[in-house]
Amino acid sequence: MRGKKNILIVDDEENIRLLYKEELQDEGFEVDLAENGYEAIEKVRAKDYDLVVLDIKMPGMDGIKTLTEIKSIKKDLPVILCSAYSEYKQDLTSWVSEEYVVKSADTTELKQKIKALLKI
Amino acid sequence: MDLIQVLSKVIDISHSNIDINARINGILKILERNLENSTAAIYVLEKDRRLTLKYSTRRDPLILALSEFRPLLGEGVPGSVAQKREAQLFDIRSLPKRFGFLLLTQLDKVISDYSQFAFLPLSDESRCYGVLMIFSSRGTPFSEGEKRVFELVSKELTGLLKASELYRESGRRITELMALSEIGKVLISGRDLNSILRETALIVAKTLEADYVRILLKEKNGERSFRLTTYGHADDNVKEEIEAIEERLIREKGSLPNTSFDTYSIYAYPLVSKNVVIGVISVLARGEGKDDEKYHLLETISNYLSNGLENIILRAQLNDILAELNSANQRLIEQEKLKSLGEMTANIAHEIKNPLVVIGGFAKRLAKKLPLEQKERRYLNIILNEVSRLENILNEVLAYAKDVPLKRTLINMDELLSELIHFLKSDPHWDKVEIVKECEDGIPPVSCDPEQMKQVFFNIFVNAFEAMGAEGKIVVKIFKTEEGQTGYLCVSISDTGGGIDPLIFDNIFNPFFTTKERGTGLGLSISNKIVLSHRGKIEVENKRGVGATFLVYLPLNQNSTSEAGNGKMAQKKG
Ligand SMILES: Nc1ncnc2c1ncn2[C@@H]1O[C@H](COP(=O)(O)OP(=O)(O)OP(=O)(O)O)[C@@H](O)[C@H]1O
Ligand SMILES: [Mg+2]
Repeated sequence: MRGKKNILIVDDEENIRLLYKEELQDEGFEVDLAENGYEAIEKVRAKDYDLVVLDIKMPGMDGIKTLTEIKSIKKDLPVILCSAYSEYKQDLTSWVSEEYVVKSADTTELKQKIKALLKI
Repeated sequence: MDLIQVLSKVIDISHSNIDINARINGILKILERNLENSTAAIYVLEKDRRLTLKYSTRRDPLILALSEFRPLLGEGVPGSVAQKREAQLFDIRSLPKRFGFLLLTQLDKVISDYSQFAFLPLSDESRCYGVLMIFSSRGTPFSEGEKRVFELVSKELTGLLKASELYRESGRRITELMALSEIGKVLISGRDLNSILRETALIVAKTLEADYVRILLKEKNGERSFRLTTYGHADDNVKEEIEAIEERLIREKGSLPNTSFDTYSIYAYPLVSKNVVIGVISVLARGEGKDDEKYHLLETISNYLSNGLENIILRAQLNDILAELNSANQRLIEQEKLKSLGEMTANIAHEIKNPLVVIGGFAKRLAKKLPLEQKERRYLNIILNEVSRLENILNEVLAYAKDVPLKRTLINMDELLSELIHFLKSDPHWDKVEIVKECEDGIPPVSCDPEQMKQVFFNIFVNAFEAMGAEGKIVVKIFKTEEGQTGYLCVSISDTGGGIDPLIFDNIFNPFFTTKERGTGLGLSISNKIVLSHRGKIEVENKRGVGATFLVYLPLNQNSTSEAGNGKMAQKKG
């Protein structure tokens, strides 16, 4: 197995970012954080991530728009859309993401899906 | 005969203020009394250009025989006197046979009672009102003086007939105006159509002294449903007769001659709006034979009613539309309320969800770090249980507030495609694109989300349109096929756009892959994911230089399988 996998977490809530970061670091991932869509796009341009965890509901540039941008920069970079509920599929563009999880205090599902996409 | 005395009596009566008809009869009596053995009577000229024997004082056999006959203007001696407005005097020898009414053989017996006959026109410069007839049984002819008296009496009688006609005319006009004004009041009363028609029937019955009134009205133009309003009573056979008349009036438009029974007459008149018969008003009135006045009155009322009803019907239709609009609006408001309620719930739940995830998430991390036997560990577990309980409640609320992703129903694919093709063809840009659809027999309905499937076919159609440069032919086929154990419904869409370049063939389902200047490259990738989430698949057959065929497969007999509300069934195409 080559070095640690890099994951970018995009969420406008600081405490959610912190929670996901610690949970994923415990799983042995390298984690970067972005607090909005613009910052996320900048980071995706600057660094080769293995996966992006993207919140849908964010002020300004929302997750769906950010997703479109990310895919036009790196169309093979897997993205997991994240939201408080299944608003996914409302916007057909969200179909373009690789996975989708409903946010929960229990992060098991998120971790499983990340591992599946990264084939770990 | 004392001429001066006769004349002065005639003038006295003529200018008295008793009833006009009584004055006329009184004058006839004076004539009879002063000319021994004689009879006087008056034929009145009516609108139908016939003479009616209206005035006579005695039930004399000749007068009775004459009163049964209504000669035309110009017919027989009375008719020709009325026409020429010239007096004619005869004795029994010079008198034309049967007064010129050759068919009235019954006159032969009774004419011979008299020997002198005078016929005097009752006319002024403008027209003739009738004919005064004086018959006498004496041998000597009327003297010059008597003739002069006849002439003067005729003048008086002419004046009286004229007055009587005016009187009758204005009487009729007054009845007519009263009826119309009453109907007018009803029409503008703003009441509903049924009570307006009921009131109108009552007024018509009163005005025409009718026993039975029917108003038949078409519910809507062009339709054969009617609203019937009746007043009074009629026997069934009479009603049948009226129905037949109504039928004919509606079919032929226009009036009919009245039908008379032994003691009743039916009057019927069409109600016409914008040259179309919208109904019929029929009246059953006592009295045999036709009464011109009643008929004329009904005609006037019908015309008035036609105009008024037109507005009322329009208003009623408008009211219906308004009511419909109102309830549609009400429904819309309800829907909006529900929708905004849903949105509000979603927003609140969303706001609660994030802090809950943070509380629960960190509590979990804490629990992991604490040693198992520590008492605080139990407290943390309580917190975690409560958090997951709250999360479940929120998920339920949110699932209710938001639609689950796949809204499956059983769909007739042929109809869905017809609808979509119709939608596309309504765009003039598609005028040069021919779309042919063939559907195999016995295609069962298929379980799918119709909106999402429309999106799939829409993307494929638009790609074909773009590949063909807005001109060509698209063939759509719907058929059944099998693969292993599963039956599939397949929709194939072939175009004449020259096909797909083999160099890019493997990329067309990738998101953001496009060869078009203004394409996003999402069309096929989204379509593919939709079809995959239906447990179906998309295949492409490519004929270089000819065109591309996209085959969309959907599994049949899947109606009971439910999709998970979140998460994805589809895997990215490898
Ligand atoms: N019927 C077809 N004939 C020829 N080429 C096709 C056909 N359908 C798709 N393609 C090719 O596949 C590419 C991808 O199609 P897709 O529908 O995903 O995106 P798009 O049509 O380019 O853009 P979008 O649909 O988002 O506006 C097209 O750009 C085109 O080159
Ligand atoms: Mg397209």
